[in-house]
Amino acid sequence: MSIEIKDIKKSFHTTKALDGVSCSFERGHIIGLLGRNGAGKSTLIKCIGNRLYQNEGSVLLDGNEVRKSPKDFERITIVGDENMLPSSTKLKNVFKMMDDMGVGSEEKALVLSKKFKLDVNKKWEKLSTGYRTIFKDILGLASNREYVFFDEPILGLDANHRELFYEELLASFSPDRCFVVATHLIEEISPLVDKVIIIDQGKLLREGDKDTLLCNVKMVSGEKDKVEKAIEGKKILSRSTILGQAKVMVEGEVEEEGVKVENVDLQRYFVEMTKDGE
Amino acid sequence: MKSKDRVVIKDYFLSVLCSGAIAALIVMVFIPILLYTIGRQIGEGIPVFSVFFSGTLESIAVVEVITHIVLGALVLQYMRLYMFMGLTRDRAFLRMMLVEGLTLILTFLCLAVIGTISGLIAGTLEFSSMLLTCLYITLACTLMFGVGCVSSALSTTCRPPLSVAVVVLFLIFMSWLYEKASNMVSTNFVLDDGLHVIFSPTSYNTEAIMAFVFGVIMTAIAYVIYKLPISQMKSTSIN
Repeated sequence: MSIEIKDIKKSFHTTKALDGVSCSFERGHIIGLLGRNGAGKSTLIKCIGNRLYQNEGSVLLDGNEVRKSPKDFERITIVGDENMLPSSTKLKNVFKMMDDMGVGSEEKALVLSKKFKLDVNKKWEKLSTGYRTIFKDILGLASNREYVFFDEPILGLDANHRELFYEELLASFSPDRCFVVATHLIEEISPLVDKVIIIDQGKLLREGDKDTLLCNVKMVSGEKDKVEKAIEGKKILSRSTILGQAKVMVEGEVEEEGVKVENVDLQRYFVEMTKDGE
Repeated sequence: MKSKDRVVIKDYFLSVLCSGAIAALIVMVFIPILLYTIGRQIGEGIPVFSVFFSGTLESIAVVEVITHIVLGALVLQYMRLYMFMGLTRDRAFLRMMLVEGLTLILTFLCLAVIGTISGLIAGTLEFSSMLLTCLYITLACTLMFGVGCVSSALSTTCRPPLSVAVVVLFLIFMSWLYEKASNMVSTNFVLDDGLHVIFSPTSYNTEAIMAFVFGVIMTAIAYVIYKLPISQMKSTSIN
C-alpha cells in the first residue's frame, strides 16, 4: 500500500529538475519531503498530481500507473503551491464541491475555517497570501483521501496558525493514511514527521525512518588531528575546518576521546547534507 | 446532471445569463429609451417604439459569442479545480466539455427567449426563422468556445510571449483553413426526383455547420495539446 516513484526524470529546457528520483510514500506515515529551494520537491509533487508529465519514469500506486488509472488517482489529494482555483469562486462553493465529489467533508472544512478564522463567503482573489495558504491547508486537512500531499503548507502563516495547522494535521492523521509535507521549516515540522525524504539538485539524497536516520549520525568537533583520529574508518557525511578546528558529521558511533560528540537534529542533518559544494 | 458539477455549472450558466441579461438591458431598454427620448427632443416623429426591437437578437448574440470565448479560456482554470478534486487530466477535460455542452443548450434557450420577446414587441416574430437564427448563433458560440479552449491549452505548452505568438499563429492558420474549407463546401446535390440541393458558403446554414465543425476540431486539438508531454498544468504561484 504505497506510492512508488520509479526513476523519475523531468527537465525544463536545459535544467534537470528531477534526475532519476526513486522513493516511496507508504501509508501510516507522516513524511517530510525536504530539499532546498529548487531541489525538485514541488516538481515531484506536480508529477505525482498529473500537473506535469515526467520525461521518464513512473508513479505507481499499488502497482498501477497513477496517470492512467483514474480510480487510483482519486486516492490522492495534492495541495500544491499553485493557484488552482478560478479567481471568482467563493470558498464555500469549493467546500461544497469537495463534498459533492466525495473528496472530503464540507462540515469539517467549515469547522476548520472557523478555527482559522477564514471567511468562507470570500472569493479566492480577495484572500491575502496567508489566508490562501490556510484555505488550501483546510482543503488538505478536510480531505478523506489516503494520500495527501501538502506543498509548502505553512508559507506566509503566522506562528499561531502554524501551531494550529500542526495540531490539525496530527488530528486528521490515521494509520491507513499517508501525509506528505514539503517544507523549508524543518525545525518546526521535525517532531511531526516519522519518515524523511531529502532531495537535492533533483536527486534523492536520503530516504528513511527519521529516528533510524538520525540515531546513527554524530557530529564530531574539536582539534583537527583528534577529530581525524576519532572518525577513522567512519563514513563522512560533511566536513568543515576553521583555524585548526574541525567539525565532521559521520555515520556510526564515535568515542569521546578529546573530541566533542553530539547527536544531530533533523535540521542540522539537512543543512550539513545539502551544503553547497558537498 | 450529477450534483458533482453544480459549482462549475453555476459559474458557466451565470456567465451566459448575466452577459445575456446585461446585453438585453442595453439593447432592449436603454438604447430604445435613449433614441426615443432624443427623437422626441429634436422633434423627429418616431412613430412606434417597437422599431428599435428589430435586430436586437443579433446584437445580443454578439455578447453571447464573446462570452463563449472567455468560457473557453477558463477551461484550464476549472480543469485545475477538477484535478484537485481527484480527476485525471483527461477526465477533467471531458467534464468541462460536458459543462460547456449544457451551457450551449442554455445559450440557445436564452437566445430563444430574447428572440421571442423582441419579435413580439417588434411584431415580426416568425418562430421557425427565429429558432434557426438562435441555432446558428449557438453553433457560432461553439467555434468561439473552441478558440478560447485551444488558446488556453496552448498556453500550457510555453510561457508568454512565445505562448501568445503560438496562439496568434494558430488562430491565423485556423482562419485560413476555415476560409478554404468554406469555399470547398459549395456543393450541388441532385436527388433522385430531380430536386437540387445546393450547399453554398454564402448560405447561413453551411457557415453555421462549418463553425460547429471547426469548434469541435479546435476543442479536440485542445484535448490533444493537454496530452502532450510538454503541457504543464502549472499556474501562477499563490504569491
